[in-house]
Amino acid sequence: MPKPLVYTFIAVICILVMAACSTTKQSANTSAQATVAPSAPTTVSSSWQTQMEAERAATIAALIKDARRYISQNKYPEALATIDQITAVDPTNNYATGVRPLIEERALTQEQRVYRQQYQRNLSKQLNRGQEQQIPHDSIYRYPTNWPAISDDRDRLFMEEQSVGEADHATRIALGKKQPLVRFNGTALDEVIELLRDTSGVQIIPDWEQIERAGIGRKAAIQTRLRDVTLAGVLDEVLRQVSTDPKNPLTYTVDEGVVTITTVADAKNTKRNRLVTRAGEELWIIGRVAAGETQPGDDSPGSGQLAVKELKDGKEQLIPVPLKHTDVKASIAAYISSTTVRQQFYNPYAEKIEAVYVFPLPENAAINEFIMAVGQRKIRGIIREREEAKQLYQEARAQGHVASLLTQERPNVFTQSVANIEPSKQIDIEITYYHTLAYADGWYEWAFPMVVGPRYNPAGSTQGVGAAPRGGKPGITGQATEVQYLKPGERSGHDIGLSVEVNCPAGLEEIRCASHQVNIERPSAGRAIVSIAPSDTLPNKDFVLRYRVAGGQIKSGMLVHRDQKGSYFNLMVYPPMDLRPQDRIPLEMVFLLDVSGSMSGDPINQCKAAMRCALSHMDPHDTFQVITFSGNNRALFDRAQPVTKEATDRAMHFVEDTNAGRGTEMMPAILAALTAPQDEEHKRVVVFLTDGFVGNEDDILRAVHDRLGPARIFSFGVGSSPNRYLMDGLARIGRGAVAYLGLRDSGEDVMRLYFDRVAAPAMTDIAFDFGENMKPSELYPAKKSDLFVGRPIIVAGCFSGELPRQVQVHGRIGGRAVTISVPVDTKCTTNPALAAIWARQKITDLSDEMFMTPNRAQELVLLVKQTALDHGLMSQYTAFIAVDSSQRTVGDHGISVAVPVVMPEGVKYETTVPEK
Amino acid sequence: MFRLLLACFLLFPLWSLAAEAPATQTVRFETVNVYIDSGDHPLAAWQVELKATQGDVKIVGVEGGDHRDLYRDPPYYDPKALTAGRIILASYTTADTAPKGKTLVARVHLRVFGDFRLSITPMAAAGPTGQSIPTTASTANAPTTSTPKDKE
Repeated sequence: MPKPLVYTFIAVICILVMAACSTTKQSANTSAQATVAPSAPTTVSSSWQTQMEAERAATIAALIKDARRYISQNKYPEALATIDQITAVDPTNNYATGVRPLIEERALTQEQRVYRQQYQRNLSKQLNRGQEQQIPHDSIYRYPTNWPAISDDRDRLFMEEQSVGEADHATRIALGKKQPLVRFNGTALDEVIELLRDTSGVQIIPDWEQIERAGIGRKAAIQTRLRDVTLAGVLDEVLRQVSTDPKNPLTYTVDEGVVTITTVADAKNTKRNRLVTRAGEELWIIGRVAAGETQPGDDSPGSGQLAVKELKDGKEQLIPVPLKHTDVKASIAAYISSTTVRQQFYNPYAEKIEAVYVFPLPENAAINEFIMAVGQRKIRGIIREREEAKQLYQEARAQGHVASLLTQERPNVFTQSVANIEPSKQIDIEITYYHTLAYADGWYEWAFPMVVGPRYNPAGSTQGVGAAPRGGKPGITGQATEVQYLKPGERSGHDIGLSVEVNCPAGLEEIRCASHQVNIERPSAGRAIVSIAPSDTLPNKDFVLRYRVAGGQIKSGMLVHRDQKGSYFNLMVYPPMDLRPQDRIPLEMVFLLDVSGSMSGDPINQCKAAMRCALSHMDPHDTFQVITFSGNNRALFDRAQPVTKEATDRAMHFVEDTNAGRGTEMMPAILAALTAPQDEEHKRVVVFLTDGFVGNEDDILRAVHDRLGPARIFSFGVGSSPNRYLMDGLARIGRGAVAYLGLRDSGEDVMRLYFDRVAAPAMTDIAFDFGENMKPSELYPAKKSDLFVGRPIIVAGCFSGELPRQVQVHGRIGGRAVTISVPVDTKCTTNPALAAIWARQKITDLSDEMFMTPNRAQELVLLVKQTALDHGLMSQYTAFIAVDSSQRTVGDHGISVAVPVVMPEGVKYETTVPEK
Repeated sequence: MFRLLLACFLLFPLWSLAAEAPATQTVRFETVNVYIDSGDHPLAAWQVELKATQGDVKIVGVEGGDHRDLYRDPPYYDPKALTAGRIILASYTTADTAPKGKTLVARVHLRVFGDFRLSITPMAAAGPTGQSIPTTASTANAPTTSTPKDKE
């Protein structure tokens, strides 16, 4: 109730009370006259005052009682109004003044809860409408109130009858879905299959060997027009048309959820079950209503809006998201990769939206091309200063133009925003980047990250990357960047396709992918085409491809590019052959083990396996310490201990007994590892095992730089999607090396290679001699790292003058001077990627320098910005913007929808994503 | 009723002022078509400079032209030469039949405020064998001055 009204009400009450008192007084006087002698006037006045006080106290007591009742009933607005009444009667009332803030807080919380529920309801409704858009029928289905039970029973019985697996069952349902209209006008068979695959989402794989053996070509023409026929019916018709042999026509089988098209004879031989579309597949639909008959805002269960979530495989809920598919195509030549990532944004909702997607790319990616595709039209994005690009994007968004903006949040985390996507419309974004491949222990490695892991941000941090539950209110984490995660049991339709072409003229000895199921084609000895298998398209882990070049020994080399804008080179130096294990100085090994919530489960088990190997491989002359960290850190020993059986046994138990949980306070652990007292006989080496899921990477790297001293850091990125920016940065600034321990890697193997690395002396004091005629400039990294066994160094630079035939690399191994000759390919001087790679390396170097010389930060920011703008590169201070100014969409810009992502494989949602 | 009439009477001048404000005095997004006329020579490669000579213009996207599939892909631009209102565009085709005559080679998406004027200058053009060819460049749907390369 508004306060003025309350006051008026109180005033009226007071008048009435006074009138009543007056009546009472008169009555009392009359009574007194009748029974007792008249009292003195002062006594009457005092009695009246006492009565007034009593009335007032009674009123307040009644109001307090009311207020308490309202509070107990959670009716806070009413309680507040009552408190106001008390205050009006007695402004200094202790109860009112004391309880008021509490009620106000509760009222606010209640209000927020109501808003949150409202928001969730609206979102649910939005999702409902979106799902409906995806149902290939014009009508809306109405289901009985107990449809989930009916559906479950039906599914169970069906599966029992057919004895099919869950994957097959899901495929069966998809095959039973009616297609509104299918029209092929002389379309080739392979295109038809591709089209059906894309539109239905069913994995349809033609067995071309069998099909072609049956005399049917890939280009066999299909001519048909079908309406409201199930996908199975369409397939039947298509296969009937192309079948040439009536005794052995084409058919399809379903196995493990995959529809394979083959001949009847082959299907019999391989004993695959012919899938028969069951009549009455949609028996559970009991009626249809015309659009609009469903009551808007009716959220009660069973009201007919099935499309909230669709059960998939009987287990997972399919959540419509505005990102349909990501397609990655990469080509590798020498040790340089060019990759194009195509993201297909699609609006599954009934209203216009802005899609916002936070996604990872390699931390050393030189992103120099950005294209937005609107239908058949392609618009090349323009590089701008970040703030300017953001402003342009906001203006275009406000005016209804389709626009896209790509910003960098971390060197390996980016945000893609696409504005004004109309319902059922698709906007594609193409991003192209170059980078050099990692090389370690005989293997080249090409990695593509697919998901940003959930980061922990220390208290007080606001510039981190926050992890939020799907549908969470924007800004809920309080961090500058937020990633929303699907909850356990939820699945979005977003999947990924990936293909890498490896070209290696010297020949490929071996090629393998430990992270994913892949198909590998080998058109020639020096070429391989690797593509992700259709059964492994969930974007929840890094794709890691490793290959070995034939001939064993990799040679150092220098690549060169020249054009009118400048001359660039990229030099890769491999360790010399004689960098072999020999007596080394004693080490103090500090094992720093991340046992935070994100490491819970498979990652911590991998760490334990690696630690078991490490503890049994230490040299008797070494000393060691084990520190675990999560919310706080815990050291096994007071100080590093000699390697004895007793000490290693104790460490083994310590590690085995460790459980992962809680936050990731990495900074105190780093400081503890680097600043502990140290004896001069042992050189400190920090072995750091973590997934790197923290949002304060720059603070960590700065601390490492400030406190490193003579120590070295060897970082091990653990898990399916480690934070490679942090892991690589730790090794780079920690003057050590990085290794990755995936969930399918052997912890023992990875740790054994580490011991090989530290067992051999590094080649130090590296210097380059480019000859007299070549004038190199701006070499990056400017600070030369040491050359470890199994690990090359890569240096990018500019130059002028004439190229030498070879470059001399000088250094020292264990006090002995060593020179390596690196041949220069002077014939091939066209490799435009080198300019972008050089600029990207320069930006990395300048960013590192910001940690080291904070007083030059402003100047360095300008340098980074200028380098990025000159080379059209993505950076922290630049962004790509693309606007389709040729047309405006109708209405306002609609709601902003974050694309929720799946949790990285092996990482638990419960221990990493705060629900509040 | 009287109050309503009074309010309308008082607000009318403001409304008419707003209505008379030219549309160009707001931020808006426009598209400029870029043509190259290579006469009888097939146009296999080209480079033009487009810049704003007047007004507040920012380039926010570059799209390809319309000549079948030859120049459908968006042309490249030189980031080093890019400023708010200036861009150097270039593209090439390896197709056997490069287009002749006046060809729509690109569409440039602009964010503009107020009146503006552009200038377009052909910087280079070549035929299929790499020989230099004479061209003129022009735009449509935007006030533009076409400047021959020599006079730039």
